Amino acid sequence: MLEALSYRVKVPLNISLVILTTVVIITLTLLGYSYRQIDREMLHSGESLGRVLAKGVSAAMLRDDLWSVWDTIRSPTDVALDEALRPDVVTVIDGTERVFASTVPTRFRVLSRPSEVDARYAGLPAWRDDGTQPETTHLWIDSDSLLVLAPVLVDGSLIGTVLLEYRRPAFLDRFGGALGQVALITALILLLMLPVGWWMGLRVARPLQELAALMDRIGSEHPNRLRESLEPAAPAGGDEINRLRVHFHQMLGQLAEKESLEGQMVRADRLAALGRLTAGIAHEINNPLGGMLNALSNHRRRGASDPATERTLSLLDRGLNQIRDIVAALLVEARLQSHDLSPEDLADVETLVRSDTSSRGVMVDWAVEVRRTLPLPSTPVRQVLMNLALNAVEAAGEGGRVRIRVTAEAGALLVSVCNDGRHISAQQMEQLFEPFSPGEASGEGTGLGLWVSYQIVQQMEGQIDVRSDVTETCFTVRLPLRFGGGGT
Amino acid sequence: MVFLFVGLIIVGNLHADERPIRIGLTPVILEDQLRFLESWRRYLEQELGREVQFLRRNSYGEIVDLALRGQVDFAWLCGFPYVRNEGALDLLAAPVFKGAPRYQSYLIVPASDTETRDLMDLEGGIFAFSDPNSNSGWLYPEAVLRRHATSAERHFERTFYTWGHRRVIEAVAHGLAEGGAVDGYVWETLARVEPELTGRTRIVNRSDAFGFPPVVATPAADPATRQAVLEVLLSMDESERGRQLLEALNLDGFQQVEPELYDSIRRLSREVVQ
Repeated sequence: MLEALSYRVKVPLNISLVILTTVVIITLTLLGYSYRQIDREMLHSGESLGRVLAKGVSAAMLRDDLWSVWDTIRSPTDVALDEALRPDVVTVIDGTERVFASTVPTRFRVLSRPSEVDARYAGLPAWRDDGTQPETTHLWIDSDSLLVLAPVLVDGSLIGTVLLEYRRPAFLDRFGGALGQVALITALILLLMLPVGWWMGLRVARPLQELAALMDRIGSEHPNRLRESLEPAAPAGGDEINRLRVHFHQMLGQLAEKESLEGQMVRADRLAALGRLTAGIAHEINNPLGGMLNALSNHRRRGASDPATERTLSLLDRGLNQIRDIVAALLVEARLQSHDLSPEDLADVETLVRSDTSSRGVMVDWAVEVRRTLPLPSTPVRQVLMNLALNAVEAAGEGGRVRIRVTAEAGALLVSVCNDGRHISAQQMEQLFEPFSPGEASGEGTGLGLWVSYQIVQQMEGQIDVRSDVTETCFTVRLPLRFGGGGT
Repeated sequence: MVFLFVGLIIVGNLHADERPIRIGLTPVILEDQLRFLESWRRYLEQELGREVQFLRRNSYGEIVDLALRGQVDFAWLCGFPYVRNEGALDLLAAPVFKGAPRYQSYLIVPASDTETRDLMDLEGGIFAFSDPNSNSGWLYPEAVLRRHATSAERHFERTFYTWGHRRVIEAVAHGLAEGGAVDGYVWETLARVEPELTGRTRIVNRSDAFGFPPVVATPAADPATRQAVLEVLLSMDESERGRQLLEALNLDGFQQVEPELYDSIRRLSREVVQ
């Protein structure tokens, strides 16, 4: 049952329990100690009182004055003594060990023998008249009753004995009040400590609750967003909760990465399938299309037709050519057999792009760090760079900035094209490289630029990535220097 | 009024050099009620115009001694010592209790004892007498035993004196004694003050009425003082304050009595002492 409780409750509950246990143990120890002290106090007080009474009754006993003896021995039971130190019964026995007087005369009748009335009195030590002075003594007549014996001496000779019976008070009788007080103080301490416990419970539970809440959200929300809402972890080497936090933070990162990879793979699969589909369709269309265009051309070569037929044929010719262009655009066949990429090829692209941008008021930051000819087919590379650059200029819009970097590193050409225009939403991102994608700036182009670029890069076994946030959208292309141009 | 005036003149005349009037008290009354005694003493001083001293001792016997030796002027004591010392002590007045100057001796046992019917049932018991000089607290029960051809010494296993009627009641109430002889007037008065104490005792027998313990004058008291004290006692029931004091004493007043009132005690005394 306790296991099901939140730490917010468990911690203060445990603190209260610890306080309660501590108080109870300390209280019982102290009370137990002072309870054991009672025996000593009883004995001490009993022996003093016994001596006083023995002296007080001696003259009256000598006079055989029963009343005076009785009046003397009952005074301690009348006077308000500490209850524990008040004798229960005081009895005076004479030299023949018969009762002279007792404060409980109905039990210890005058002249009766105490041992016959009360079996506990049977084992009283007899004073021996052997010349030694009898001393005040005591014995336990049962587990809770102490009997103090004080000799009554007149001129050194024994004429009787004062017997004081003490009953050890029951623990509760003695300390019932103290226990009540302890309970009250404990309640007060708990009342003070509970808010502290509550606060500590909150302190312990808050990071755990936070983590638990985040865990509950996994699956329904993107790990990166969860990761952002997790406060930056304290320096490593903290307590367990902190370590948990650090690991959870890392785990969310890995989860995000995994999800992103999965997304990429799904997109790549889709684009590949789309590529195969469009290529298949294009081939199937190209065959009849070629036949139709040939038939049209032959017809024209055979001679003129009447004007009306000529207009129709012209219409068909234009339409068929448009179909061929679109199919050609869809059917991306990177012409890998072209001359190696030289710095001049890249400079040509810059010239073409700048001619287009100057009129649009877009600032282009072009940085090409390629100083030598690279073993890459120049035509597809130029096509990809051109597409990306023109798209960026389009996206940047009036007054925008475009940043283009082309660098060669060991085994690969890196191209990065960034613009500060509208950023691409996550939804658009999903279909970005698909033909006629809504994400592509389709103001002027055919809507196939990115599709073509993607296909080319794929065919060159490279990678193309896009990253977009509010400040910048960047396309990065990595082409392995594996495809030697081969041509001149 | 005239009386009071005369009294005041006496105050003026006698106050300066007269010695105090000494009155010996015995436990025939509840003599441990100190506050009451003090106000009674002041009353007497005011009425007599002289300093009054109350003297109390452990037993009747010591007061009787003081009286015979003239060390007190007056004594309030039992009829028994009075009849034994008639030659030296003069009857002054006797209190009126329930309309007559008489009282009884009570035989009491603890309330838990519901069996005892008379003194003879207490054979072999522990018995408390108040004082060997008391009629109700010793003479009467002893005489009863004599009539049954025995005596306290033989009849009881143990007897003891408490030196006071109130203490007899205490001893019996607590079970120290299994029976006790007590002044009926003291028992009745205590029943008004401490009913829980008398409630723990049971009255077994009430004796015939005897003359109430009298106030006697000793040879030390001159005739004028005797007269003055007598008049103050007799007139106590005439003033408001006097009536309050009498009420506290549980008495109706004082009256002059004849020695014959104590004839019954004289008879008992002769039976027992001789």
